[in-house]
Amino acid sequence: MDWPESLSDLFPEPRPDEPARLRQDITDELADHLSCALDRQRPLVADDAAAKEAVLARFGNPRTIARRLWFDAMKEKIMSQRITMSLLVVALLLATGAMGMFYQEGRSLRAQSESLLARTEELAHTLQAKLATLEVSNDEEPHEEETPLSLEWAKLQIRLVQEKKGGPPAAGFTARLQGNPINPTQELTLTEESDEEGLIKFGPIRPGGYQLNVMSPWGHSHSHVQENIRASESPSLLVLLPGRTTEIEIACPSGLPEIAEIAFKVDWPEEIAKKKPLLFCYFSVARSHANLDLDGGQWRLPQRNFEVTLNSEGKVLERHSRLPVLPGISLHRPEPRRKTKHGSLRDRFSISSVGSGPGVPRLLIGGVQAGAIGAGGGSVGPIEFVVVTDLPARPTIRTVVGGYELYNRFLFLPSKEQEGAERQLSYNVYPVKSVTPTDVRVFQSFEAVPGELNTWQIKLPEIVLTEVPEKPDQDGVKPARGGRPRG
Amino acid sequence: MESRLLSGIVETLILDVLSRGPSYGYEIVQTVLSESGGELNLKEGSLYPALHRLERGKLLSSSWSDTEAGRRRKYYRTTPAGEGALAAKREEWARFAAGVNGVLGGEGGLA
Repeated sequence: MDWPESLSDLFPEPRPDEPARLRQDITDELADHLSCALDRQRPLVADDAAAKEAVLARFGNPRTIARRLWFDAMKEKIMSQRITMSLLVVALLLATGAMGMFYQEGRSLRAQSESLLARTEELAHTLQAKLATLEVSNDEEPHEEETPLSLEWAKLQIRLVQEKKGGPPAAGFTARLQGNPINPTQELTLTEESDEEGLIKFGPIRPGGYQLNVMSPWGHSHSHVQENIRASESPSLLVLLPGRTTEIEIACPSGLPEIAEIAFKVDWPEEIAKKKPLLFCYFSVARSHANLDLDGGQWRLPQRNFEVTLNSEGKVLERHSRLPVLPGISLHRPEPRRKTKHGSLRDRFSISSVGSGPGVPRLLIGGVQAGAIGAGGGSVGPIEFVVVTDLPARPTIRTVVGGYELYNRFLFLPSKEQEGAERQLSYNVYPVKSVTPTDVRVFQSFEAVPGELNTWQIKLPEIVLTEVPEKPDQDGVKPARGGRPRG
Repeated sequence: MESRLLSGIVETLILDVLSRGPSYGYEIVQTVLSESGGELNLKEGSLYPALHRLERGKLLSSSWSDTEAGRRRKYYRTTPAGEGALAAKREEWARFAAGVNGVLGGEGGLA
Protein backbone atom coordinates (compact mmCIF):
# COMPACT_ATOMS: atom_id res chain seq x y z
CA MET A 1 0.00 0.00 0.00
CA ASP A 2 1.41 3.39 -1.04
CA TRP A 3 1.63 6.27 1.38
CA PRO A 4 -1.37 8.42 0.50
CA GLU A 5 -0.67 11.95 -0.66
CA SER A 6 -4.32 12.81 -0.15
CA LEU A 7 -6.86 11.14 2.14
CA SER A 8 -9.85 12.59 0.36
CA ASP A 9 -9.58 10.59 -2.87
CA LEU A 10 -12.46 8.25 -2.03
CA PHE A 11 -14.89 10.81 -0.61
CA PRO A 12 -18.21 10.95 -2.49
CA GLU A 13 -19.39 14.04 -4.35
CA PRO A 14 -20.06 16.98 -2.01
CA ARG A 15 -23.64 17.29 -0.79
CA PRO A 16 -25.47 20.55 -0.12
CA ASP A 17 -26.48 19.42 3.36
CA GLU A 18 -22.94 18.39 4.33
CA PRO A 19 -21.20 20.34 7.18
CA ALA A 20 -18.59 22.65 5.67
CA ARG A 21 -15.60 21.34 7.66
CA LEU A 22 -16.50 17.66 7.77
CA ARG A 23 -14.05 16.44 5.13
CA GLN A 24 -11.22 18.63 6.39
CA ASP A 25 -11.70 17.52 9.97
CA ILE A 26 -11.62 13.85 8.99
CA THR A 27 -8.48 14.15 6.87
CA ASP A 28 -6.70 16.32 9.47
CA GLU A 29 -7.43 13.85 12.24
CA LEU A 30 -6.24 10.82 10.27
CA ALA A 31 -3.20 12.70 8.95
CA ASP A 32 -2.19 13.62 12.49
CA HIS A 33 -2.41 9.97 13.52
CA LEU A 34 -0.33 8.80 10.57
CA SER A 35 2.29 11.46 11.20
CA CYS A 36 2.59 10.52 14.88
CA ALA A 37 2.91 6.86 13.96
CA LEU A 38 5.51 7.57 11.29
CA ASP A 39 7.57 9.74 13.63
CA ARG A 40 7.62 6.89 16.12
CA GLN A 41 8.38 4.24 13.51
CA ARG A 42 11.25 5.94 11.68
CA PRO A 43 13.97 5.32 14.31
CA LEU A 44 13.02 1.66 14.40
CA VAL A 45 13.57 0.75 10.73
CA ALA A 46 16.20 1.19 8.10
CA ASP A 47 14.50 3.58 5.73
CA ASP A 48 11.48 5.80 5.32
CA ALA A 49 9.67 3.42 2.96
CA ALA A 50 9.81 0.58 5.47
CA ALA A 51 8.54 2.90 8.21
CA LYS A 52 5.53 3.97 6.09
CA GLU A 53 4.77 0.38 5.19
CA ALA A 54 4.75 -0.62 8.87
CA VAL A 55 2.50 2.30 9.82
CA LEU A 56 -0.04 1.50 7.10
CA ALA A 57 0.02 -2.17 8.06
CA ARG A 58 -1.12 -1.26 11.57
CA PHE A 59 -3.53 1.48 10.54
CA GLY A 60 -5.27 0.05 7.48
CA ASN A 61 -6.20 1.98 4.34
CA PRO A 62 -6.61 5.61 5.50
CA ARG A 63 -8.65 6.64 2.44
CA THR A 64 -11.14 3.85 3.02
CA ILE A 65 -11.40 4.78 6.69
CA ALA A 66 -11.85 8.47 5.79
CA ARG A 67 -14.71 7.53 3.43
CA ARG A 68 -16.35 5.39 6.11
CA LEU A 69 -16.14 8.23 8.65
CA TRP A 70 -17.77 10.56 6.13
CA PHE A 71 -20.63 8.09 5.55
CA ASP A 72 -21.08 7.52 9.27
CA ALA A 73 -21.38 11.28 9.81
CA MET A 74 -23.83 11.71 6.93
CA LYS A 75 -25.80 8.47 7.48
CA GLU A 76 -28.77 10.03 9.25
CA LYS A 77 -29.24 12.72 6.64
CA ILE A 78 -28.86 10.26 3.75
CA MET A 79 -31.32 7.78 5.30
CA SER A 80 -33.80 10.52 6.11
CA GLN A 81 -33.70 11.69 2.52
CA ARG A 82 -34.19 8.14 1.23
CA ILE A 83 -37.14 7.52 3.57
CA THR A 84 -38.77 10.76 2.46
CA MET A 85 -38.38 9.75 -1.15
CA SER A 86 -39.78 6.27 -0.45
CA LEU A 87 -42.80 7.71 1.37
CA LEU A 88 -43.48 10.04 -1.53
CA VAL A 89 -43.41 7.13 -3.96
CA VAL A 90 -45.71 5.04 -1.73
CA ALA A 91 -48.11 7.96 -1.31
CA LEU A 92 -48.18 8.43 -5.07
CA LEU A 93 -48.92 4.73 -5.62
CA LEU A 94 -51.67 4.76 -2.97
CA ALA A 95 -53.28 7.82 -4.48
CA THR A 96 -53.24 6.19 -7.90
CA GLY A 97 -54.72 2.97 -6.48
CA ALA A 98 -57.42 4.86 -4.58
CA MET A 99 -58.46 6.72 -7.71
CA GLY A 100 -58.76 3.40 -9.52
CA MET A 101 -60.86 1.92 -6.71
CA PHE A 102 -63.17 4.95 -6.59
CA TYR A 103 -63.68 4.62 -10.30
CA GLN A 104 -64.58 0.92 -10.01
CA GLU A 105 -66.79 1.56 -6.97
CA GLY A 106 -68.63 4.29 -8.84
CA ARG A 107 -69.40 1.93 -11.70
CA SER A 108 -70.60 -0.76 -9.27
CA LEU A 109 -72.81 1.71 -7.34
CA ARG A 110 -74.37 2.93 -10.54
CA ALA A 111 -75.26 -0.65 -11.52
CA GLN A 112 -76.71 -1.33 -8.05
CA SER A 113 -78.77 1.86 -8.17
CA GLU A 114 -80.23 0.90 -11.50
CA SER A 115 -81.10 -2.58 -10.16
CA LEU A 116 -82.67 -1.08 -7.02
CA LEU A 117 -84.70 1.35 -9.07
CA ALA A 118 -86.07 -1.48 -11.21
CA ARG A 119 -87.06 -3.48 -8.13
CA THR A 120 -88.69 -0.44 -6.54
CA GLU A 121 -90.76 0.12 -9.64
CA GLU A 122 -91.81 -3.54 -9.64
CA LEU A 123 -92.80 -3.30 -5.96
CA ALA A 124 -94.77 -0.12 -6.59
CA HIS A 125 -96.74 -1.87 -9.33
CA THR A 126 -97.48 -4.77 -6.98
CA LEU A 127 -98.64 -2.41 -4.22
CA GLN A 128 -100.86 -0.52 -6.61
CA ALA A 129 -102.46 -3.79 -7.66
CA LYS A 130 -103.01 -4.77 -4.01
CA LEU A 131 -104.47 -1.36 -3.14
CA ALA A 132 -106.88 -1.69 -6.01
CA THR A 133 -107.90 -5.11 -4.70
CA LEU A 134 -108.41 -3.71 -1.19
CA GLU A 135 -110.53 -0.86 -2.46
CA VAL A 136 -112.78 -3.37 -4.18
CA SER A 137 -113.01 -5.63 -1.16
CA ASN A 138 -113.80 -2.70 1.18
CA ASP A 139 -117.04 -2.26 -0.63
CA GLU A 140 -117.92 -5.84 0.12
CA GLU A 141 -118.12 -7.83 3.32
CA PRO A 142 -114.70 -7.78 5.07
CA HIS A 143 -113.62 -11.41 4.87
CA GLU A 144 -109.95 -12.13 4.46
CA GLU A 145 -110.39 -15.47 2.82
CA GLU A 146 -111.98 -13.73 -0.11
CA THR A 147 -108.89 -11.58 -0.68
CA PRO A 148 -107.11 -13.26 -3.53
CA LEU A 149 -103.46 -14.12 -2.96
CA SER A 150 -101.03 -14.53 -5.80
CA LEU A 151 -99.14 -17.76 -6.00
CA GLU A 152 -96.06 -15.85 -4.87
CA TRP A 153 -97.47 -15.34 -1.39
CA ALA A 154 -98.98 -17.29 1.48
CA LYS A 155 -100.54 -16.54 4.87
CA LEU A 156 -100.60 -18.29 8.23
CA GLN A 157 -103.29 -17.95 10.88
CA ILE A 158 -102.79 -19.61 14.26
CA ARG A 159 -105.57 -20.05 16.79
CA LEU A 160 -104.28 -20.74 20.30
CA VAL A 161 -106.68 -22.43 22.69
CA GLN A 162 -106.41 -23.61 26.28
CA GLU A 163 -105.86 -27.28 27.08
CA LYS A 164 -107.68 -28.83 24.09
CA LYS A 165 -108.95 -28.14 20.60
CA GLY A 166 -112.06 -25.96 20.77
CA GLY A 167 -111.07 -24.65 24.21
CA PRO A 168 -111.15 -21.00 25.34
CA PRO A 169 -108.63 -18.68 23.65
CA ALA A 170 -105.08 -18.49 24.96
CA ALA A 171 -104.00 -14.83 24.97
CA GLY A 172 -100.53 -13.41 25.46
CA PHE A 173 -98.65 -16.35 23.95
CA THR A 174 -95.76 -15.61 21.61
CA ALA A 175 -95.33 -17.32 18.25
CA ARG A 176 -92.06 -17.25 16.39
CA LEU A 177 -91.90 -18.18 12.72
CA GLN A 178 -88.45 -18.87 11.32
CA GLY A 179 -87.23 -19.66 7.83
CA ASN A 180 -86.66 -18.27 4.37
CA PRO A 181 -87.92 -20.44 1.51
CA ILE A 182 -86.34 -18.11 -1.06
CA ASN A 183 -82.89 -18.05 0.50
CA PRO A 184 -82.40 -20.65 3.28
CA THR A 185 -78.97 -19.24 4.11
CA GLN A 186 -80.54 -15.98 5.31
CA GLU A 187 -83.12 -17.11 7.84
CA LEU A 188 -85.82 -14.61 8.78
CA THR A 189 -87.65 -14.53 12.11
CA LEU A 190 -91.16 -13.15 12.56
CA THR A 191 -92.64 -12.82 16.04
CA GLU A 192 -96.28 -12.14 16.96
CA GLU A 193 -98.33 -12.29 20.16
CA SER A 194 -101.78 -13.84 20.42
CA ASP A 195 -104.64 -11.38 20.94
CA GLU A 196 -107.68 -11.71 23.19
CA GLU A 197 -109.18 -14.22 20.77
CA GLY A 198 -105.98 -16.27 20.79
CA LEU A 199 -105.28 -15.38 17.16
CA ILE A 200 -101.91 -14.82 15.56
CA LYS A 201 -101.54 -13.90 11.87
CA PHE A 202 -98.48 -13.98 9.67
CA GLY A 203 -98.35 -12.80 6.11
CA PRO A 204 -98.41 -12.33 3.30
CA ILE A 205 -95.12 -14.21 3.36
CA ARG A 206 -93.34 -16.41 0.89
CA PRO A 207 -94.77 -19.94 0.64
CA GLY A 208 -92.53 -22.81 1.67
CA GLY A 209 -91.06 -24.43 4.77
CA TYR A 210 -90.86 -22.73 8.16
CA GLN A 211 -90.34 -23.60 11.80
CA LEU A 212 -93.00 -22.48 14.27
CA ASN A 213 -92.43 -22.19 18.01
CA VAL A 214 -94.96 -21.01 20.57
CA MET A 215 -94.09 -19.94 24.09
CA SER A 216 -96.32 -19.33 27.06
CA PRO A 217 -95.92 -16.13 29.10
CA TRP A 218 -94.43 -18.23 31.93
CA GLY A 219 -91.96 -20.24 29.85
CA HIS A 220 -93.61 -23.40 28.47
CA SER A 221 -92.47 -23.87 24.87
CA HIS A 222 -93.94 -25.81 21.99
CA SER A 223 -92.39 -26.65 18.64
CA HIS A 224 -95.21 -27.19 16.19
CA VAL A 225 -95.10 -30.11 13.78
CA GLN A 226 -97.59 -30.23 10.94
CA GLU A 227 -99.60 -33.44 10.80
CA ASN A 228 -98.25 -34.62 7.48
CA ILE A 229 -94.60 -33.91 8.29
CA ARG A 230 -92.26 -36.13 10.22
CA ALA A 231 -90.01 -33.98 12.34
CA SER A 232 -87.12 -36.37 12.03
CA GLU A 233 -87.13 -36.12 8.25
CA SER A 234 -87.44 -32.39 7.64
CA PRO A 235 -85.97 -29.29 9.20
CA SER A 236 -89.16 -27.43 8.22
CA LEU A 237 -92.01 -28.43 10.47
CA LEU A 238 -94.63 -26.28 8.78
CA VAL A 239 -95.20 -25.83 5.05
CA LEU A 240 -97.23 -22.87 3.75
CA LEU A 241 -98.83 -23.49 0.38
CA PRO A 242 -98.69 -20.79 -2.31
CA GLY A 243 -101.71 -18.57 -2.76
CA ARG A 244 -103.43 -19.92 0.38
CA THR A 245 -103.97 -19.08 4.03
CA THR A 246 -102.91 -21.96 6.23
CA GLU A 247 -104.92 -22.20 9.43
CA ILE A 248 -103.81 -24.23 12.43
CA GLU A 249 -105.08 -24.61 15.97
CA ILE A 250 -102.76 -25.34 18.89
CA ALA A 251 -103.77 -26.43 22.39
CA CYS A 252 -101.79 -24.53 25.03
CA PRO A 253 -101.27 -24.81 28.79
CA SER A 254 -103.92 -22.85 30.63
CA GLY A 255 -101.72 -21.28 33.24
CA LEU A 256 -98.73 -21.52 35.52
CA PRO A 257 -97.75 -25.08 36.35
CA GLU A 258 -98.73 -26.27 39.79
CA ILE A 259 -96.07 -25.93 42.42
CA ALA A 260 -95.21 -28.34 45.20
CA GLU A 261 -93.15 -27.81 48.32
CA ILE A 262 -90.36 -30.23 49.05
CA ALA A 263 -88.47 -31.03 52.26
CA PHE A 264 -85.52 -33.41 52.37
CA LYS A 265 -84.47 -36.02 54.87
CA VAL A 266 -81.22 -37.94 54.77
CA ASP A 267 -80.62 -41.19 56.62
CA TRP A 268 -77.36 -40.21 58.24
CA PRO A 269 -76.09 -42.57 60.90
CA GLU A 270 -75.33 -40.71 64.12
CA GLU A 271 -71.56 -41.04 63.91
CA ILE A 272 -71.52 -39.43 60.51
CA ALA A 273 -74.17 -36.80 61.27
CA LYS A 274 -71.98 -35.54 64.11
CA LYS A 275 -69.36 -34.62 61.52
CA LYS A 276 -71.78 -32.23 59.83
CA PRO A 277 -71.67 -33.73 56.36
CA LEU A 278 -73.04 -32.20 53.19
CA LEU A 279 -74.87 -34.07 50.48
CA PHE A 280 -75.04 -32.83 46.92
CA CYS A 281 -78.04 -34.14 45.04
CA TYR A 282 -78.75 -33.97 41.34
CA PHE A 283 -82.47 -34.18 40.44
CA SER A 284 -83.74 -34.47 36.91
CA VAL A 285 -87.32 -34.28 35.75
CA ALA A 286 -88.62 -37.82 35.32
CA ARG A 287 -88.87 -38.80 31.70
CA SER A 288 -92.60 -39.43 32.13
CA HIS A 289 -93.10 -35.83 33.30
CA ALA A 290 -90.52 -34.06 31.17
CA ASN A 291 -93.11 -32.91 28.64
CA LEU A 292 -96.70 -31.78 28.87
CA ASP A 293 -98.90 -33.50 26.29
CA LEU A 294 -101.84 -31.36 25.21
CA ASP A 295 -104.09 -32.74 22.51
CA GLY A 296 -101.19 -34.40 20.72
CA GLY A 297 -98.82 -31.44 21.06
CA GLN A 298 -95.73 -31.58 23.26
CA TRP A 299 -94.97 -28.64 25.54
CA ARG A 300 -91.59 -28.53 27.17
CA LEU A 301 -91.23 -27.47 30.77
CA PRO A 302 -89.14 -24.36 31.18
CA GLN A 303 -87.08 -26.00 33.86
CA ARG A 304 -85.55 -29.42 33.47
CA ASN A 305 -83.56 -30.28 36.55
CA PHE A 306 -82.10 -28.84 39.70
CA GLU A 307 -79.40 -29.48 42.26
CA VAL A 308 -79.50 -29.06 45.99
CA THR A 309 -76.87 -29.12 48.66
CA LEU A 310 -78.22 -30.59 51.88
CA ASN A 311 -76.68 -30.22 55.29
CA SER A 312 -76.70 -32.86 57.99
CA GLU A 313 -80.21 -31.76 59.06
CA GLY A 314 -81.58 -32.12 55.53
CA LYS A 315 -81.88 -28.36 55.05
CA VAL A 316 -81.06 -26.80 51.69
CA LEU A 317 -78.05 -24.52 51.41
CA GLU A 318 -79.70 -22.15 49.01
CA ARG A 319 -76.62 -20.29 47.93
CA HIS A 320 -74.90 -23.55 47.17
CA SER A 321 -77.68 -25.06 45.13
CA ARG A 322 -79.11 -24.66 41.68
CA LEU A 323 -82.80 -24.41 42.45
CA PRO A 324 -85.77 -24.64 40.08
CA VAL A 325 -86.20 -21.56 37.95
CA LEU A 326 -89.69 -20.49 36.91
CA PRO A 327 -91.16 -17.02 36.41
CA GLY A 328 -92.75 -16.00 39.66
CA ILE A 329 -91.22 -18.75 41.77
CA SER A 330 -87.52 -18.44 40.97
CA LEU A 331 -85.34 -19.06 43.96
CA HIS A 332 -82.15 -18.64 42.09
CA ARG A 333 -79.95 -15.66 42.68
CA PRO A 334 -76.41 -14.99 41.54
CA GLU A 335 -73.74 -15.92 44.00
CA PRO A 336 -71.17 -13.31 44.90
CA ARG A 337 -67.56 -14.13 44.30
CA ARG A 338 -65.32 -14.41 47.32
CA LYS A 339 -61.60 -14.22 47.29
CA THR A 340 -59.67 -17.02 48.93
CA LYS A 341 -56.04 -17.86 48.77
CA HIS A 342 -56.99 -20.42 46.13
CA GLY A 343 -58.51 -17.81 43.88
CA SER A 344 -61.89 -16.24 43.40
CA LEU A 345 -64.72 -18.68 44.06
CA ARG A 346 -68.45 -18.47 43.94
CA ASP A 347 -70.40 -19.57 46.97
CA ARG A 348 -71.95 -22.34 44.92
CA PHE A 349 -68.51 -23.85 44.93
CA SER A 350 -69.30 -27.50 44.86
CA ILE A 351 -71.47 -27.59 41.79
CA SER A 352 -69.95 -24.91 39.66
CA SER A 353 -66.39 -25.97 40.21
CA VAL A 354 -66.62 -29.73 40.42
CA GLY A 355 -69.02 -29.78 37.51
CA SER A 356 -72.66 -30.64 37.30
CA GLY A 357 -74.77 -33.42 35.93
CA PRO A 358 -74.93 -37.11 36.58
CA GLY A 359 -71.67 -38.82 37.31
CA VAL A 360 -70.13 -36.03 39.32
CA PRO A 361 -69.15 -36.90 42.88
CA ARG A 362 -71.78 -35.65 45.28
CA LEU A 363 -71.15 -36.72 48.82
CA LEU A 364 -68.81 -34.75 51.01
CA ILE A 365 -68.42 -35.97 54.55
CA GLY A 366 -66.87 -33.86 57.22
CA GLY A 367 -66.65 -30.32 58.47
CA VAL A 368 -68.81 -28.57 56.00
CA GLN A 369 -67.10 -28.62 52.69
CA ALA A 370 -65.95 -28.17 49.70
CA GLY A 371 -64.99 -26.57 46.43
CA ALA A 372 -62.78 -28.14 43.93
CA ILE A 373 -60.21 -26.20 42.00
CA GLY A 374 -58.73 -27.86 39.02
CA ALA A 375 -61.32 -30.55 38.45
CA GLY A 376 -63.82 -30.24 35.68
CA GLY A 377 -66.28 -32.14 33.58
CA GLY A 378 -66.83 -34.76 36.22
CA SER A 379 -63.24 -35.94 36.19
CA VAL A 380 -61.61 -36.38 39.55
CA GLY A 381 -57.93 -35.92 40.11
CA PRO A 382 -55.87 -34.25 42.81
CA ILE A 383 -58.14 -31.49 44.07
CA GLU A 384 -57.96 -28.65 46.56
CA PHE A 385 -60.97 -27.92 48.69
CA VAL A 386 -62.43 -24.98 50.53
CA VAL A 387 -64.09 -25.58 53.85
CA VAL A 388 -67.12 -23.46 54.56
CA THR A 389 -68.86 -22.87 57.86
CA ASP A 390 -71.93 -20.93 59.01
CA LEU A 391 -73.94 -21.63 55.89
CA PRO A 392 -77.52 -20.28 55.80
CA ALA A 393 -80.04 -23.04 55.14
CA ARG A 394 -83.73 -23.21 54.27
CA PRO A 395 -86.04 -26.05 55.29
CA THR A 396 -87.83 -26.51 51.93
CA ILE A 397 -87.78 -25.66 48.25
CA ARG A 398 -90.57 -25.27 45.72
CA THR A 399 -90.71 -26.86 42.30
CA VAL A 400 -93.11 -27.91 39.58
CA VAL A 401 -95.29 -30.89 40.42
CA GLY A 402 -94.37 -34.16 38.75
CA GLY A 403 -91.84 -36.92 38.94
CA TYR A 404 -88.17 -36.46 39.63
CA GLU A 405 -85.18 -38.75 39.62
CA LEU A 406 -82.16 -38.51 41.89
CA TYR A 407 -78.85 -39.63 40.48
CA ASN A 408 -75.82 -39.40 42.75
CA ARG A 409 -72.28 -40.58 42.81
CA PHE A 410 -70.17 -40.37 45.93
CA LEU A 411 -66.85 -38.96 46.92
CA PHE A 412 -65.26 -39.08 50.35
CA LEU A 413 -63.40 -36.18 51.89
CA PRO A 414 -61.68 -35.53 55.23
CA SER A 415 -63.99 -35.49 58.18
CA LYS A 416 -62.66 -32.68 60.35
CA GLU A 417 -61.33 -29.21 60.06
CA GLN A 418 -57.58 -29.39 60.02
CA GLU A 419 -55.04 -27.57 62.11
CA GLY A 420 -54.00 -24.20 60.84
CA ALA A 421 -57.26 -23.59 59.04
CA GLU A 422 -57.31 -20.06 57.76
CA ARG A 423 -60.28 -17.91 58.70
CA GLN A 424 -61.46 -15.79 55.85
CA LEU A 425 -64.88 -14.12 55.93
CA SER A 426 -67.09 -16.99 57.00
CA TYR A 427 -64.78 -19.53 55.45
CA ASN A 428 -62.10 -21.80 56.73
CA VAL A 429 -59.72 -22.48 53.91
CA TYR A 430 -57.30 -25.33 53.66
CA PRO A 431 -56.04 -27.55 50.90
CA VAL A 432 -56.62 -31.25 50.74
CA LYS A 433 -53.86 -32.94 48.86
CA SER A 434 -55.88 -35.50 47.00
CA VAL A 435 -59.05 -37.49 47.12
CA THR A 436 -60.06 -40.80 45.74
CA PRO A 437 -63.64 -41.30 44.57
CA THR A 438 -65.51 -44.45 44.96
CA ASP A 439 -67.83 -45.43 42.20
CA VAL A 440 -70.98 -45.72 44.24
CA ARG A 441 -74.09 -44.65 42.36
CA VAL A 442 -77.59 -44.09 43.65
CA PHE A 443 -80.88 -43.78 41.81
CA GLN A 444 -84.11 -42.85 43.53
CA SER A 445 -87.47 -41.67 42.21
CA PHE A 446 -89.62 -39.02 43.87
CA GLU A 447 -92.96 -37.41 43.24
CA ALA A 448 -93.80 -33.74 43.83
CA VAL A 449 -97.48 -33.62 44.74
CA PRO A 450 -99.38 -30.32 45.01
CA GLY A 451 -101.21 -29.16 48.11
CA GLU A 452 -99.04 -30.87 50.71
CA LEU A 453 -95.49 -30.85 52.01
CA ASN A 454 -93.53 -33.51 50.17
CA THR A 455 -90.76 -35.09 52.21
CA TRP A 456 -88.20 -36.78 50.05
CA GLN A 457 -86.19 -39.28 52.09
CA ILE A 458 -82.80 -39.87 50.55
CA LYS A 459 -81.20 -43.21 51.29
CA LEU A 460 -77.46 -43.53 51.35
CA PRO A 461 -75.88 -46.65 49.92
CA GLU A 462 -74.48 -49.07 52.45
CA ILE A 463 -70.93 -48.57 51.35
CA VAL A 464 -71.18 -44.89 52.27
CA LEU A 465 -72.38 -45.70 55.73
CA THR A 466 -69.75 -48.33 56.43
CA GLU A 467 -66.57 -47.25 54.77
CA VAL A 468 -65.94 -43.71 55.92
CA PRO A 469 -62.61 -43.78 57.78
CA GLU A 470 -62.51 -42.30 61.25
CA LYS A 471 -59.47 -40.17 60.51
CA PRO A 472 -58.09 -38.87 57.26
CA ASP A 473 -54.59 -39.86 56.38
CA GLN A 474 -52.05 -37.41 55.00
CA ASP A 475 -53.37 -37.63 51.49
CA GLY A 476 -56.97 -37.07 52.45
CA VAL A 477 -59.53 -39.76 53.05
CA LYS A 478 -59.16 -42.83 50.97
CA PRO A 479 -62.18 -45.05 51.49
CA ALA A 480 -61.39 -48.69 51.59
CA ARG A 481 -63.11 -50.83 49.04
CA GLY A 482 -65.12 -53.90 49.92
CA GLY A 483 -65.42 -53.12 53.62
CA ARG A 484 -67.67 -54.79 56.12
CA PRO A 485 -71.34 -54.03 55.47
CA ARG A 486 -73.23 -52.14 58.12
CA GLY A 487 -75.61 -53.94 60.36
CA MET B 1 -6.03 -10.91 21.55
CA GLU B 2 -8.10 -11.78 18.53
CA SER B 3 -9.60 -8.75 16.80
CA ARG B 4 -13.10 -10.32 17.02
CA LEU B 5 -12.86 -10.35 20.82
CA LEU B 6 -11.31 -6.92 20.92
CA SER B 7 -13.93 -5.24 18.75
CA GLY B 8 -16.57 -5.86 21.40
CA ILE B 9 -14.78 -3.83 24.01
CA VAL B 10 -13.15 -1.06 21.96
CA GLU B 11 -15.67 1.54 23.14
CA THR B 12 -15.15 0.52 26.77
CA LEU B 13 -11.40 0.87 26.41
CA ILE B 14 -11.72 4.30 24.77
CA LEU B 15 -14.06 5.56 27.50
CA ASP B 16 -11.73 4.23 30.17
CA VAL B 17 -8.65 5.93 28.74
CA LEU B 18 -10.47 9.24 28.23
CA SER B 19 -11.99 9.15 31.71
CA ARG B 20 -8.51 9.96 33.01
CA GLY B 21 -8.16 13.09 30.86
CA PRO B 22 -8.35 14.44 27.29
CA SER B 23 -6.45 12.53 24.64
CA TYR B 24 -6.23 12.03 20.87
CA GLY B 25 -6.41 8.98 18.62
CA TYR B 26 -2.80 7.93 18.39
CA GLU B 27 -2.22 8.47 22.09
CA ILE B 28 -5.27 6.40 22.99
CA VAL B 29 -3.94 3.48 20.92
CA GLN B 30 -0.56 3.68 22.56
CA THR B 31 -2.09 3.84 26.06
CA VAL B 32 -4.17 0.74 25.48
CA LEU B 33 -1.22 -1.11 24.00
CA SER B 34 1.06 -0.13 26.85
CA GLU B 35 -1.33 -0.85 29.71
CA SER B 36 -2.30 -4.21 28.29
CA GLY B 37 1.30 -5.31 28.06
CA GLY B 38 0.96 -5.47 24.28
CA GLU B 39 -1.99 -7.87 24.39
CA LEU B 40 -4.60 -5.41 23.14
CA ASN B 41 -3.08 -4.36 19.85
CA LEU B 42 -5.86 -2.34 18.24
CA LYS B 43 -6.09 -2.05 14.50
CA GLU B 44 -5.46 1.65 14.63
CA GLY B 45 -7.82 2.64 11.85
CA SER B 46 -10.72 0.91 13.59
CA LEU B 47 -10.39 3.31 16.49
CA TYR B 48 -11.83 6.31 14.64
CA PRO B 49 -15.27 4.95 13.71
CA ALA B 50 -15.68 4.06 17.39
CA LEU B 51 -14.51 7.53 18.53
CA HIS B 52 -16.90 9.27 16.14
CA ARG B 53 -19.78 6.96 17.15
CA LEU B 54 -19.24 7.80 20.83
CA GLU B 55 -19.08 11.49 19.97
CA ARG B 56 -22.36 11.34 18.03
CA GLY B 57 -23.87 9.53 21.02
CA LYS B 58 -22.86 12.47 23.27
CA LEU B 59 -20.64 10.19 25.36
CA LEU B 60 -17.56 12.12 24.20
CA SER B 61 -16.92 15.75 23.36
CA SER B 62 -14.03 17.04 21.24
CA SER B 63 -11.94 20.11 20.54
CA TRP B 64 -9.15 21.01 18.14
CA SER B 65 -5.70 22.41 18.85
CA ASP B 66 -2.52 22.96 16.83
CA THR B 67 0.64 20.90 17.41
CA GLU B 68 4.21 22.23 17.41
CA ALA B 69 4.66 20.69 14.00
CA GLY B 70 1.80 22.82 12.71
CA ARG B 71 -0.76 20.01 12.38
CA ARG B 72 -4.35 20.16 13.69
CA ARG B 73 -5.06 17.64 16.43
CA LYS B 74 -8.44 16.54 17.70
CA TYR B 75 -8.72 15.95 21.43
CA TYR B 76 -11.52 13.91 22.97
CA ARG B 77 -12.84 13.87 26.52
CA THR B 78 -15.66 12.02 28.26
CA THR B 79 -18.97 13.74 29.01
CA PRO B 80 -21.01 13.02 32.19
CA ALA B 81 -23.10 10.66 30.08
CA GLY B 82 -19.89 8.96 28.99
CA GLU B 83 -18.85 8.51 32.61
CA GLY B 84 -22.16 6.85 33.38
CA ALA B 85 -21.88 4.62 30.34
CA LEU B 86 -18.36 3.62 31.37
CA ALA B 87 -19.58 2.58 34.83
CA ALA B 88 -22.29 0.45 33.29
CA LYS B 89 -19.89 -1.13 30.80
CA ARG B 90 -17.40 -1.91 33.56
CA GLU B 91 -20.09 -3.70 35.55
CA GLU B 92 -21.26 -5.56 32.47
CA TRP B 93 -17.72 -6.61 31.68
CA ALA B 94 -17.09 -7.80 35.24
CA ARG B 95 -20.14 -10.06 35.09
CA PHE B 96 -19.21 -11.29 31.67
CA ALA B 97 -15.62 -12.03 32.67
CA ALA B 98 -16.75 -13.75 35.87
CA GLY B 99 -19.15 -15.86 33.89
CA VAL B 100 -16.52 -16.88 31.38
CA ASN B 101 -14.07 -17.62 34.16
CA GLY B 102 -16.67 -19.67 35.94
CA VAL B 103 -17.01 -21.87 32.88
CA LEU B 104 -13.33 -22.00 32.03
CA GLY B 105 -12.32 -22.60 35.64
CA GLY B 106 -10.56 -19.31 36.17
CA GLU B 107 -10.78 -17.06 39.23
CA GLY B 108 -13.83 -15.02 40.03
CA GLY B 109 -16.36 -17.43 38.63
CA LEU B 110 -19.99 -16.83 39.48
CA ALA B 111 -20.29 -20.17 41.09
